[in-house]
Amino acid sequence: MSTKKKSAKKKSTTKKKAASGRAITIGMYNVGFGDAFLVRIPDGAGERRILFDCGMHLGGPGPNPIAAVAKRIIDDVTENGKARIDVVVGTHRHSDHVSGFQQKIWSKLEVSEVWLPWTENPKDPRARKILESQSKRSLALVQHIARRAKKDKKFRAAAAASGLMEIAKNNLKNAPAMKTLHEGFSGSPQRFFLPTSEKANERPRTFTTPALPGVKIHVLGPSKDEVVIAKLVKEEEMLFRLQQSASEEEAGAPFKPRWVIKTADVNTKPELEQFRLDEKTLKNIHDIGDGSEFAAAASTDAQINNTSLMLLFEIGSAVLLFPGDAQWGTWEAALNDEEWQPLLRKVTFLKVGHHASENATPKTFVDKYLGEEFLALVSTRKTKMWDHVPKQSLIDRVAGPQADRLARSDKPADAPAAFTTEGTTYTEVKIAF
Amino acid sequence: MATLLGMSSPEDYARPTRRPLKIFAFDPMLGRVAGNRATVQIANEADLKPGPFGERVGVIDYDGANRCYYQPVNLDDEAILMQGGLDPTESDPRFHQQMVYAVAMRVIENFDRALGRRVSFRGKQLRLFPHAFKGANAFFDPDPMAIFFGYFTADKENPGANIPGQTVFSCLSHDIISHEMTHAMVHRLRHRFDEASNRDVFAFHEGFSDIVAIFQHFSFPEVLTETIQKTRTQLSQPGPLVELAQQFGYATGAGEALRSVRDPNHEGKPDKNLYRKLHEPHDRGSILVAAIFDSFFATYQQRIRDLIRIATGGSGLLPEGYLHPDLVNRIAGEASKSAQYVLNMCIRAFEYLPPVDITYGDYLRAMVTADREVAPGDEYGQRAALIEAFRVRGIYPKGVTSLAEEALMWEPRIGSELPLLPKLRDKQLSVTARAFDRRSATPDEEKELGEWAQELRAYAMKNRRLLDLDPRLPVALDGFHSVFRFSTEGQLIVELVAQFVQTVKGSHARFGGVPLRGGSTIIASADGQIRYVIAKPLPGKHLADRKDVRELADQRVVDQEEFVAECDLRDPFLPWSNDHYLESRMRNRFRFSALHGMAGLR
Repeated sequence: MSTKKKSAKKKSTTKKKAASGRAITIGMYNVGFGDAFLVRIPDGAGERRILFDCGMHLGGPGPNPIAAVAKRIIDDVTENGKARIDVVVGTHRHSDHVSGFQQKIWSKLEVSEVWLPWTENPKDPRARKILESQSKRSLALVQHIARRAKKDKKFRAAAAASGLMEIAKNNLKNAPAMKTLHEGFSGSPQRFFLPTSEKANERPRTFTTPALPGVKIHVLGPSKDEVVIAKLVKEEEMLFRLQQSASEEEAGAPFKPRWVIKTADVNTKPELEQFRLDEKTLKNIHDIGDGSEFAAAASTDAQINNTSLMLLFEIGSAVLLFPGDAQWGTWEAALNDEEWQPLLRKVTFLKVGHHASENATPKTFVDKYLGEEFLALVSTRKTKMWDHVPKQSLIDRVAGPQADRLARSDKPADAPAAFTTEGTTYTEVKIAF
Repeated sequence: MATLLGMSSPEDYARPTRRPLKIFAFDPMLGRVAGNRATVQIANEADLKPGPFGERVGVIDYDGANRCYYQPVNLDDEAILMQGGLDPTESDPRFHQQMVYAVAMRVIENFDRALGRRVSFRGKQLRLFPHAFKGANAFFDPDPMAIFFGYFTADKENPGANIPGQTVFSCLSHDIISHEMTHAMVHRLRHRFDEASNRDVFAFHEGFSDIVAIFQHFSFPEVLTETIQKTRTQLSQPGPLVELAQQFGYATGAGEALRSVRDPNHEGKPDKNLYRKLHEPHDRGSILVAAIFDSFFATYQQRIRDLIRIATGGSGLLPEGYLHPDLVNRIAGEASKSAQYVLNMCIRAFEYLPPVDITYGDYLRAMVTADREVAPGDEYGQRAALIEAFRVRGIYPKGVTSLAEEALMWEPRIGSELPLLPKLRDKQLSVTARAFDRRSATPDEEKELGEWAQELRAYAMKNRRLLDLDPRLPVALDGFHSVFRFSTEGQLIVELVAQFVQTVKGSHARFGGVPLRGGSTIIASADGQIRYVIAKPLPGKHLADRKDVRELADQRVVDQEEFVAECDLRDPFLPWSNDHYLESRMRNRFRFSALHGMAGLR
């Protein structure tokens, strides 16, 4: 691949940069608000390749359509007319991580293994329950928003400003894209839903695979702990309300008409004086339940993020952390795990989760685990609707006092010296191992 | 009114002090289960208007979803008086109004009795809306002072004993009414507990509200005897008595009651990790409920031991089969007495709580202090059981060297350098007189109260350092009142309780919209001596030579900061938020309306 070296503007204090010869290359495609990362590990004369996700959020398109990104990835892994990626990882079902897999072009890609979180395993009843609960709700929500937006002008404006529909749609099943991950690609890839069950004893928490020689893979999430799982299907009150909304809109008063008194009577008859309500109280009552839709969309979004496959690779001296979009539930389990704690302290590369939103990278992790010797990539895009993603304070903390550890997909021109970029579409970093 | 045949006019009859009203002891789902249709006696308010609209609470049946009102019940109508209130039914909104009113008044009267004074909502009515909106929710809203109850259709797939899709009314649940009503009472007594400044504040609000609801179950005699018979005196076994809001839980598809007195883990057993780990206020509140219930159960067993021995010829082993009804009745008597005792103790502890930033440890200390003041002997080991129940759950008050009763009590300040409260004696008497007299204050009295408030504030300002207040900051008086209790020698003791609060200006932003506050509750005896100073100190140079207090003050700031961070980590809104949300996020997250979504209720 042709990458033009970016002139070093700032002094680099990072020692781990582009080591001569043996280095892992991690490429980040600018998909806008979404993720697509390609990892290449030298292996003899050739290389082994891992693709993490390929998707774009409706609420934050990138400079190129996702189809073009998919094509570009395929081109980048094509040698002598043959496109090959050893492992494709679909971290979680969100559209901004998988929408690109809808493209037909993937059918010609040869893949050895596809890794998905255990929550995608069609043969696991618990997984099916999670998937069903999340996608049923998401669909009900999208339909409800569409219905309400048609009738209610104020709601429509509020929804547009907050990106409500975009968040809700991002949570949908994404069936065509998931079909590629579950059934597509050439080369009859093996599918693994990680971590696999202890009983099957195939790939529980830590494993190696012939597809990636010399790589030790640790599965830090999603957790299979019952408590964590319970949170993935927990239906909030607002979701419950929404499911009912269709029937409730039709149902009238809960009592027979003879019990009803008109508001006008209360406002005029002296004997009913004690029941008169001021404007503020009335507004209070009428507004109860406002914001339910947004709460439902956001909490489902967080639940699906917490199905993220969180992977840590040990390759020689390199320790690469790909947390997907894991949020606190998954992070909490990982940070409390004595087996993972020492590994998390040795990270030399971090993919910053969830487009650098504030609470997908715990402060404790940055302050107490991440050392000084690492580099990081974040795939993100500033939008008008969600002006706290990426969170600047997080970006600054990860980038370090010299701002030389982190590059972001949407600002390739600002990438520090350790990174190389190509126009507005691609950023790359080399990690010694 | 003219007399008829020389008979006396109606005015000549003594006005009954109590009014009987029928309610569901639990909720409609339990149908005709023994004791579910109960009659409660509440104060017979003189000027009760249709609604019912009384002096302290007023029911307003406005349905926001249908933009209409429902006919109000007139509890003074002969037809209703003659039958002791309307019969329980789901189809007549007037019964709903009656039940909401009756249960709300019961909660208020429980507070009146335990505190030995009449708790009013500062001259206004707390408004109760039995059918305010459609939704599986109910909540207290401090502004406007009101409780809104929702109604909804039961889960279509998993409705429990409800009919799929039937209308479920949260206002027909004794537990939901009691729970929300208790929120209102806590707000009335300590309105700063609406500020989530540490992990325990809202958990306390929730747990305490559950405690009141659960312990009120023990005042329904039929329910109690039935349960004693069924569980063979083991009252803690699962069942309606020790579970909360069954219908609500089933109707929302949860497949179980909303909450219970068991610890919030799989085994339902005490576990020190829960207090360390649990974050969600209702879950965390359940730890408090479990601890209090445990201590109740221990003393209850202590109290019935002799009865069982008498009934079993000394063996203490209950025979097979049905228990003797006389025994059951005697045990029920003991159970309801112990329950009322615990409930009183839980409520009375309020006088001994700091004005801000409560923790479970503070609450334990307040309960121990309050109870020791009225019952130094601890005859049934109530306090010992309480301390043990907190200990096994890993709840230790900060700044306490041991879990001995003496160490847990708030430190008495008698004999400290604190000067006497000025002119307390005469003013206290006038306020005392007012408390006995139910009429509202005359302008002169209002003026006098205002003057006294100013004096109290001036006293606090002058003695900031000795009251563990920050000498650099102004002091606000958050409330004051007299307390009456009997000494162990049977004498009436009158004391004064006052709450002082300080606020660090501009600290809102740092803690997501909730400022950093400190404050002290003082308890003074009638001669003006300060007996207790229950303080939440603010950090600062003034504490330089007081290491223990300084550490507590510093730790409070750390705790508040950590709590905000913990909430941030768990907040699904955060990625999609804007500046406006961030500025007030600690308030938004802890509005009761948001909190009582089903997420929490489960």
